[in-house]
Amino acid sequence: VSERDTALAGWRPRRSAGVLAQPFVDGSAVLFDVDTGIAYALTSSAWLVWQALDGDARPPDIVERLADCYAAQRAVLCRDVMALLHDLQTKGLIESDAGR
Amino acid sequence: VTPDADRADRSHALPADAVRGYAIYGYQFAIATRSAAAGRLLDRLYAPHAVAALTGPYDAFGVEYVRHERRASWQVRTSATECAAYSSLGAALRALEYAICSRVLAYRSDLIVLHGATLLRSGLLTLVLGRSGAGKTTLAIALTTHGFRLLSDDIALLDPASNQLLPLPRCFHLDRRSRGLLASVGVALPAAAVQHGFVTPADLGYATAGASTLRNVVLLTGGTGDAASADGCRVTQAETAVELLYEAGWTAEHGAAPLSALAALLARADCIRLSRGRLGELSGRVSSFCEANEAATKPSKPVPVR
Repeated sequence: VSERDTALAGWRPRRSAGVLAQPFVDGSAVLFDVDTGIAYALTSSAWLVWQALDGDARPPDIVERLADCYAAQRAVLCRDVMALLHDLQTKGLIESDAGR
Repeated sequence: VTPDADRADRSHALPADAVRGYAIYGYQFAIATRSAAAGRLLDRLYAPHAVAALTGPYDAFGVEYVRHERRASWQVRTSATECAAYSSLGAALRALEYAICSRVLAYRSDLIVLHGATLLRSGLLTLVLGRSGAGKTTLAIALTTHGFRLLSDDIALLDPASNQLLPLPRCFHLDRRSRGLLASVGVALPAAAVQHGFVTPADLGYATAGASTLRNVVLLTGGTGDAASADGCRVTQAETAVELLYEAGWTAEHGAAPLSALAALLARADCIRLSRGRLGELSGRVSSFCEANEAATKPSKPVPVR
């Protein structure tokens, strides 16, 4: 976990308003950015993270929720969650109100 | 066929037996031709959509062999004012088929266009997807040697209201290399269809879909040819949907309906991505992949009652 990730521990990411989300039966999901017209595929675990991005949950809270579903070490879950959040933020799919 | 004042082109007043009427998902059209060869080839493509009478507005098309002094050509009429000449019957029919396909898509703009070949085996639908040049047509045709029946090539329409997949009749675009590859895996194409470059699903064992469920999706990347063996990996329904959306050119203006329709369409589908490989290997791989779902769908043996 990087220093930046530690600094972002208090971040409460929120889903961007202009993103359509569609879950699929196999647990995966598609995010469609209305502004850019680009569609993104999410794995089932990434979909769980996406659903948690309500503007209240912090990354550690999200890791805890994932830990209930996956038998992986918290450090691994934390790394994967932060990587996903950075990716979603880079793509403009979540609001970048870090450190709020 | 009764011409309608609004859309029918009355310029070719031909005997009734030279006019064929069709209706594809509500789009009605008539094709007039005096050419028996053209009529036979068109019948093979559009026969499942033939109607005895057209009620309401329809578009009128025509294809004729025209000889002017020393010059001869095949002329295709796509409206009252549009007429183009072609040097061969095959080129004329392909242009006509393209015009009709475009009109169907414009008429049914409420349907979602999916680029792929649709096949049926054991009552289950299989969709072969791939970007232009990936080899999906060649693979789809090769699959007929594994008991698959072709419903359509290139385009299938997804109805967001019913979540049904509607195959759109199109002829296959097969170059010499593809024909060679298909011959190498035992596909026999009718000589007349090959001669005119107008091979249709009927030439390869057309089937009607009925109320079938999509159970298999194959995403084809790269070409089919002489390269190394085909590898494959499972992909999620979401990855498949993104590929379909990309190919369909879906934009936000279409609203959320395409996304939910795709989710419903793929609900029972297993998806696999296959890359380059020999055609025989690829088709065998797809056949094995689909067999798993077919076996799972078959009713189990009844338990004997003692």
